[in-house]
Amino acid sequence: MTSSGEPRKKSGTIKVDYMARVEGEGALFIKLKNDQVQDVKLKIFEPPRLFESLLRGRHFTEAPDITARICGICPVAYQMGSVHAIERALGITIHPMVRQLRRLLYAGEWIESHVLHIYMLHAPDFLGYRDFVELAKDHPEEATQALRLKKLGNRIMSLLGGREIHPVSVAVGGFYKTPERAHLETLTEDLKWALDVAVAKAEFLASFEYPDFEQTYEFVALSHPNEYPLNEGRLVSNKGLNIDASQYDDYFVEQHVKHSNALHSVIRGRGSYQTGPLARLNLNFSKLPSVARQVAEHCGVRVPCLNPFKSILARAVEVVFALDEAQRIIQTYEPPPAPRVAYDVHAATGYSITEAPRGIQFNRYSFDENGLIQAVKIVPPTSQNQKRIEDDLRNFIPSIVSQPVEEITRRCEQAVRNYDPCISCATHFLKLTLERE
Amino acid sequence: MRIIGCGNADRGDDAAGILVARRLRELGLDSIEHAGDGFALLELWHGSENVVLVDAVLSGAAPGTVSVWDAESEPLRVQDCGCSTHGFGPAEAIEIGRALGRLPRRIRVYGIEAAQFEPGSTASPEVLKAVDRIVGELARSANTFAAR
Repeated sequence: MTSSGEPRKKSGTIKVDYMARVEGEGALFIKLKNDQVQDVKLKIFEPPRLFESLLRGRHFTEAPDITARICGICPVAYQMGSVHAIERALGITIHPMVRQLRRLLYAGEWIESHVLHIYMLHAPDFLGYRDFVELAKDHPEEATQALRLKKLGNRIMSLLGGREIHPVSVAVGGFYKTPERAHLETLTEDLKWALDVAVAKAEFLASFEYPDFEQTYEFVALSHPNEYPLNEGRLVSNKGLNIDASQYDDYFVEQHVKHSNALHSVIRGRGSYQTGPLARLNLNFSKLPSVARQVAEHCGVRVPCLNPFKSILARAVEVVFALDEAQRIIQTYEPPPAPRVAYDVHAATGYSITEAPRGIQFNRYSFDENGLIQAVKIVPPTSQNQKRIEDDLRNFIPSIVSQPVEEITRRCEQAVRNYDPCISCATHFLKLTLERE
Repeated sequence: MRIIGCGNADRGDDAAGILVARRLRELGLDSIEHAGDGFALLELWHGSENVVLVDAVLSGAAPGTVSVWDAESEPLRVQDCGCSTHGFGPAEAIEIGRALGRLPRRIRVYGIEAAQFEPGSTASPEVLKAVDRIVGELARSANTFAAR
């Protein structure tokens, strides 16, 4: 290890034993030889969660509440993934207003998760602060507004989901309870304030210094004919992928790697890919509302944007989208005739892909004629991005290798956070080790 | 006085704050059990003049040792444990509150030294004794406060 005052060694290891400002427990190991990267490993050692096994033998109606427990930041993603797969298995068509309410619930999750990551976790990297507390001291206005924006996202989740973390209202066929229009209208004033702030504060984020680093990515995201994707769509990429959720296993494979409790997802025959805000923005830019497109253009984000550090701007654009979408849904909402539709149970298998804040999340549920779950597969976004994060680091490190080890470490952590990894969700995550030999 | 006990009832000594809040409620005193999410804490104490926060701590002292900080005037000496992730805990909430002028006029923190956080385990005997002491102390000051 070298410190800034010592002569720099061209070989060695950098270790970050526990990486802060990421969700869950993980570590980073980098091995250098004569300033050449020999090895990069993103180690996820948070213990396996075993949710897929835990669901076996349970009735499918329990799945939305159990899967909401996978994550405290993005519970809606897992909840939506389960109900959509189960409903598809049973051939259930939900009421259009229920569909809108689910989009609103998901928009709430995007707002709280994205604002958390933009301001509390990632912005300190760009501004050279140790954490959000230091940022708050120098930028109290931005910090106060960020706290209020995040709270609004949580309020939306609480209003629709019964509580802001691990919501309990989503049911197969719809919701256990749907709100009156007046309940949703209590959000109107705050949404108006929030949209104005989200648009104005994008400039603050755009003023950050961005490393000059671009990669050739395969971006993977959902695509819907006439809306920015949240709950449904075909899975597409900039390299010709265009599949239904049921074909996911034919095109993607999860590989076990020795250094990680999270499986690495790759596209068969092609390798790593990127999912998340930058992928969605690049593949669905025209589906954004004009206010979000204007913010992107004002921030200098032009698609295709190939700089992963600009994912923070993609998140900021998506916050604008989510707030605008929430306003639109509330303005047009009429309570559905019933909170959920009736259905018959039969043995079936169903598939779904939804867009969690940090990327696509795949689900396959099989259950028997009594509705008891026989098999489940859940592929979270972080395990899909994990190999791509390692590839980014391998290509990014040469540009910073002449710097002191503290700076290499700081920059590598920033690069990992481009993907807002949610390690708790992915286990089945950071500590940095830099080894020079 | 708003009393908030933070922790997780199912993680051994992390239950310390929760146990204090529970015992105080059994004595008929208002107290809140809280998981310790910093953002929620900022909201929870917003508008309160006088807040007491109880949580388990790790400082290297003997299990059950009670440390007290008047956080409105002194920063919590929190070592970066690195394992804080998306989670902003009570210490971060206090420092964000201080930076943004959103701290209660008085905020006293009781830290109970923990020994273990095994999932599903109960609190250690030393921690339970410390819980008893803090409950007694807070009950007396709450009653004195009410009598005024």
